[in-house]
Amino acid sequence: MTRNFPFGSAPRNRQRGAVLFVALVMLIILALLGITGMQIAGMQERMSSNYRANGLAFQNAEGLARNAECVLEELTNRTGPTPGCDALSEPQIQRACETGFEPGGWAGSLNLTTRRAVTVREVTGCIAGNDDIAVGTAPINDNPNPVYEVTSYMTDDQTNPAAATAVDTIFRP
Amino acid sequence: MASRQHKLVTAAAALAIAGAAGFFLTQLSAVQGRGTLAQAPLNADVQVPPAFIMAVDDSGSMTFEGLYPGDEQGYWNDLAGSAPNGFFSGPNVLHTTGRGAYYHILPNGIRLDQGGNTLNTATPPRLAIPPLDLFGFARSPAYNNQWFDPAVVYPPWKYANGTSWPNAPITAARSDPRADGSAGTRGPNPAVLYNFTANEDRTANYFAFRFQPGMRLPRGTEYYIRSDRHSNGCGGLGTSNATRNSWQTITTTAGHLVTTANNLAFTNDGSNRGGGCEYHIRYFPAVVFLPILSPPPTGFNVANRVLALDAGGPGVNLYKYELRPGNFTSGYDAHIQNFANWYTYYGNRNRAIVAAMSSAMLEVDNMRVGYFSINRRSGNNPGMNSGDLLMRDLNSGGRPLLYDDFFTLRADGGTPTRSASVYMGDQFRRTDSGAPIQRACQVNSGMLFTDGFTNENPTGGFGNSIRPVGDSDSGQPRPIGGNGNGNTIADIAYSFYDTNLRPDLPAGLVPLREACNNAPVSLRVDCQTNLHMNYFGITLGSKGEIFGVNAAATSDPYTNFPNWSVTGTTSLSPKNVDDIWHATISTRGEFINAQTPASVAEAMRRVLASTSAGASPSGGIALTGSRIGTGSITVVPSYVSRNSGTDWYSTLTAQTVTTNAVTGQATFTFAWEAADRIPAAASRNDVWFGTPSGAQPFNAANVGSLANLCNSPQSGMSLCTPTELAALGAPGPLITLEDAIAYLKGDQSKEAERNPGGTLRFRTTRLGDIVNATPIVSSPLDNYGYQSMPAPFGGASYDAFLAAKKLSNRSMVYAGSNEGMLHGFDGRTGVLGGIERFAYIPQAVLGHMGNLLFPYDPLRGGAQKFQHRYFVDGPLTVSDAYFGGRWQTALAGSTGAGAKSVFAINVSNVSRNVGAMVASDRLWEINDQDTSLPLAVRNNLGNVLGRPVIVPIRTGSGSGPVTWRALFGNGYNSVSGKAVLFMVDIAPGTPVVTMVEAVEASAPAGTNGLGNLVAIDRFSPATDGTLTKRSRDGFVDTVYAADQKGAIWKFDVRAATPTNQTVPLFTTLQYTAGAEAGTRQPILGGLTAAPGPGGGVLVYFGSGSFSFNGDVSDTTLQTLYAVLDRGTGGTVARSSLLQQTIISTTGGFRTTSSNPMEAGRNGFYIDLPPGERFVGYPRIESGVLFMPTYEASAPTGCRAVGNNWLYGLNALNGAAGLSAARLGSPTGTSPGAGTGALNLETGGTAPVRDVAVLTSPRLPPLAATATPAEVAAALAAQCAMIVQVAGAPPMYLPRACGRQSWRQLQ
Repeated sequence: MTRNFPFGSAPRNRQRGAVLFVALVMLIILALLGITGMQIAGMQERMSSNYRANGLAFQNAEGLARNAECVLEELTNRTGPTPGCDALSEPQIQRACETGFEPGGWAGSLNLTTRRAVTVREVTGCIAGNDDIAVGTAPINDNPNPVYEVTSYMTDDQTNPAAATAVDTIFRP
Repeated sequence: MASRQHKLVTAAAALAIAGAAGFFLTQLSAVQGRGTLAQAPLNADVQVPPAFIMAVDDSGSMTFEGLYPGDEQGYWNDLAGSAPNGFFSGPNVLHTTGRGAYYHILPNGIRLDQGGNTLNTATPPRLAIPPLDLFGFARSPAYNNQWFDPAVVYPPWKYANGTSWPNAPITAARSDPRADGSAGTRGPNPAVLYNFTANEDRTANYFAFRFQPGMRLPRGTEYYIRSDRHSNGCGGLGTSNATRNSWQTITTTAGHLVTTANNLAFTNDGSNRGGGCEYHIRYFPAVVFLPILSPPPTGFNVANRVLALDAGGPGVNLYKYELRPGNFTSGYDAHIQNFANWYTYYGNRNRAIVAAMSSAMLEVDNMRVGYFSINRRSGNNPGMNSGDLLMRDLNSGGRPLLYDDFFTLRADGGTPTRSASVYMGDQFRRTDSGAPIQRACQVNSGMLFTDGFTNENPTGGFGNSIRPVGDSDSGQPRPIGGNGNGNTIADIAYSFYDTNLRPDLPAGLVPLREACNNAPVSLRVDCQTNLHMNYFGITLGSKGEIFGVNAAATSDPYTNFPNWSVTGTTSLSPKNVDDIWHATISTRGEFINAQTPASVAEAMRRVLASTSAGASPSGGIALTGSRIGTGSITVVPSYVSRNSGTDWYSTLTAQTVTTNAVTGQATFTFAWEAADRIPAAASRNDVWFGTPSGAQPFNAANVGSLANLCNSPQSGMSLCTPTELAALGAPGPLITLEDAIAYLKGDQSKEAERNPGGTLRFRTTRLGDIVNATPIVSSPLDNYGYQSMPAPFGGASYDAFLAAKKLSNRSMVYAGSNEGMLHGFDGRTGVLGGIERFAYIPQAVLGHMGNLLFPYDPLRGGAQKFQHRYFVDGPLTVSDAYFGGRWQTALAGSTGAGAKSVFAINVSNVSRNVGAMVASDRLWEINDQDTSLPLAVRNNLGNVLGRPVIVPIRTGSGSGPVTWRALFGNGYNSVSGKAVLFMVDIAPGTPVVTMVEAVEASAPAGTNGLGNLVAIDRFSPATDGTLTKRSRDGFVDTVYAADQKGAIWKFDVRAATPTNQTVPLFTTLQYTAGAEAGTRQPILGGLTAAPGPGGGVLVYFGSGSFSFNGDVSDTTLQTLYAVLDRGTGGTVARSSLLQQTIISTTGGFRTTSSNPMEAGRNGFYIDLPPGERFVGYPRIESGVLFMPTYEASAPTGCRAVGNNWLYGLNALNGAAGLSAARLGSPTGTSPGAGTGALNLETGGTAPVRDVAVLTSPRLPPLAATATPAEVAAALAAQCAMIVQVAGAPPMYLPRACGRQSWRQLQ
């Protein structure tokens, strides 16, 4: 029996050519290319999505910090309410100094399930020589020069969070 | 954050003409902060003496004895004899034209118009009104203002040393008290003597009365005709020798009518004396006629009064009261003596003005006075130009010489008021060393006393042509502006008001009255800051063409503008009176129509008072909304002392604060003034007073008796007895308890000077002086930060309380004043603001409130019965507190130096929009007299001058009981003399008092007392439950307090029974030389604390005192301190502090050192210059420590003493902190690098106690259309804080604002 060799020393009269082979190879290459391209595209999309999530989370966290600052400014100036300034209510402001609060640790203790959190501490009387710490001399809301630490944490999306960012500012209204 | 409420309290400054009260002069101790607490502000008698020039009329008309409505003489106008009383044209209406010139009442044996010197041939002659009952009006004070009024006491003249001239003998009262023939006497020489106990029947020449045709001698009249006057008799009488030169009696029923036929010339008389007949009449001279409805003289038996028909005109009858012993049931001696004194010392205008001047000037101390009579100017005094007036300084022995001048006042010249006014004003323009104006801020007044009309024209008159001033008031608004006519008295006076009198001195320094700051400024107010003269006129009932004619139309010339006449060259016209009136209006003086001799003294006192009241700088400030915005208000009290320190009053002014969004400049706008809005006494129902068990409405039934207003057990506080108080009503009815209560509640109807017949002390406003109990503002938005507490206090409980408060409460302003009450005013702006909502009289001060009734007594000069005492004068505090199972708001205050008492009030009810005080709102009052308190409490409690705080304290463990307590130092001069921290549970009922003593083993000698304190929170519960963890839990556990001997104590109040302290945290410098050797710098000022390096606490305070009698003159070294408590125990040595120094003082700025903090130092200090001390409250804001200091001596510029400085230092190392300050505005001048203190131009002399700091909101982004100038302004203004003290211009300091740091954590 004659064996047909598609390649090599095949009989002359046999079909000759590498088109199919080439085509197949090309096909494989193209497939590989396609797959790689797809992979790249997917990766790109994942990357951009992540980037977006992170960016969104950052913007959200920064927005939350700004929102809190807006509330603080309103409280200090006795103005408002401005629409959108609702990150916290006055009772949520922490007034003590040596509470062991550490912004990084606080943010690290949160995960995506928290989605949105803000901590506002009045630190006016925690800074050496900045303000007095006398008790009973005046209402706390009538300090003309308060200093706040605003720490905000927020995810990119409130229903399907993918990323979270925390921002910490020292703010003087 | 110690801000808001007490921010800047200068204990108000006061201008006091004040005769220094006696207690003030006793400066027993050479050491500050020792001895007796002063009972009046120590700066009260410090001021630049005003200059006052008196021009007194010495014209011949000053001898007249009549002063009728509208005229100084009576006119007889009844030739027909038909009218019942021909002096009258109708009921009560006197003729103003007619026969005769009846200027006199009691003839004195000389030609009344000749003065005993030269024969005056003027016509018509001056006559005395016959002593007939029909002519009773002439002897009635109701018609003749110059006649004796039995309701008025006529004290004899006063000598310069305050002693009286002798009482006039009732049987031989002299017609002039001065020695016969001595300078100033006028009239008969020797003086005529009147016997007021017997009939007057002298028959010597010129003791007769002239009867005009138409007059009728009624039946029974005894008459005497001198044959040398009427050789043939007159009017059908005395027609025979037998009936001349002897006493005869009219017997015909109809009496005897003098007719025109009897209008005879006189024999033996060289002049034309008009017509009529002269009869001597036998009459009783000590007589007074009063209207039917007037009360009779006290003690008069009304059965013996006689009805005098038609004596007040047709159909108007008067009662005739003869002052005879038999007519009185009691009091005859006093009445007849008063009558004799009246005649001798007040009988004519000359004598009355001397009486008025001598009594009115007696009480004036702090003034330089020039005196001249308008016809005679003093001149040729040594060292002066001819004609220069000698100014006499009443502070340094000028009074006797001034009185010598008074007593020689003559009465014989013209009335050159126009040139006298020029002369007066020109004196103020002098520049020689004896010039009336010595200081650029001096207040100056001129006073013209005249009884009549000008009789000169601008180019004639008294030997001088008048320096023309032209139409100086041209173009001024009515009623200032004249009528285009120049050189009137108004023009002359206005030129001295409008033109700077001393261009060689700095201009614009004369202090302004408060009203000048409140737009719109009324024309009535003197807002001239250049040196000027206020012109005062006193006239004796004169009427002008406008003035006095229509009372309604002339009562307020600023509303009904008078139409000023042309008066420049007018003489002897009623227009001259209008001209003087115009002059007083133009120069913001006062025109006083002194209707009776007694009221002359009163009017002069008002002139003097006006001169001295001048400007009163503002006192303290309370504020809410220190971040400027909606609801930001400041409340400023100021107090003034006048009337020789008898009229102490306050105003309490609220201003809203706004800020310019671009420039950051703060603007203060007047909102209300509380003294104006105190309810009328009758409807002022919310006044309460303390009782041992609570509080009761302040009314007669509850107070019980007058004795309860005078029974203060504290020695020297009460000056009254119930009998004295009751007798204050004299000569009217006795003062009853109801009267006293009404007065104390603000009823002004019985005030002397204010109302006829008033006898109680005059109060300019019904709000007593607010000195140390400066206001605090309590806003419904106030949050005391208790949310973080555990239940049941914190969280929702406190949140709900805050929400309810915000919804239904109003702002309140609380202030204690020295008329005995703690006041709660409505703090809202608008029409409700400033209305008093309640007042509370502490139990401990009720017992000396009787003092407040004593009036100013002109006869007592500088030694008034009334003396200033403190009542509710301690600083106040307000806080939310949880007691009785719910959140409430409580106020705690003390009575300061007024009593040894501290009280607490639940103000939850009164601060509701519709709330009022109820009896149970008085929580407690502890005082040294309450025997239900333990003896130790009573003995330890002194005069609490420090500011209390109301704070929560948890004792024992983390689960221990929590109570809100009032904390305060025990105060000074307690019985025990210890330094004790008082902690009193705020809850009502029997006060639960916890006392912690501080006893230092080697303290300097003398008694001690704990003053101010600062409470802080350092610990929270640890895991084992003890209160030892170094963090804050909202409960106070550490208290720093300062004592009188200069030790700072640290109290640990975590235990239920805190341990007594024996080792102070710090002691101040101990003096080693002088009278004060061995003592230490006292600490009476406030404290504050801030977090320090290394977890420590920096405690800030300063030394010095300005509360004890000896403090003013003491110049011992005082110091500002910051001491670091590292929590290691032991006493910090002064030597371990970093020293900062004052390097130089230039132009109101002090350069201070900026030495860097060194390792191991425990804080810093800065020594003050001699005389300077710290008595205020420190304030830390954005890292800058503000400390006001007070320099109680060393005159600078215009201010005699009382100089305030404000130190601004870095709070950590004391380095100079005001380098970047801007004065006056955000772009104002900067004091320059290294500035650590600046002089506060408060315009007052009182110590500034607090520093207010306000901030404006961050600027919003500017609009796109903003101009470059706006951008520049905004850049300059952004993030400034406004530092202010009362009275001084604001200072702007940059602050950090916006985001200070940012980081992303993940």
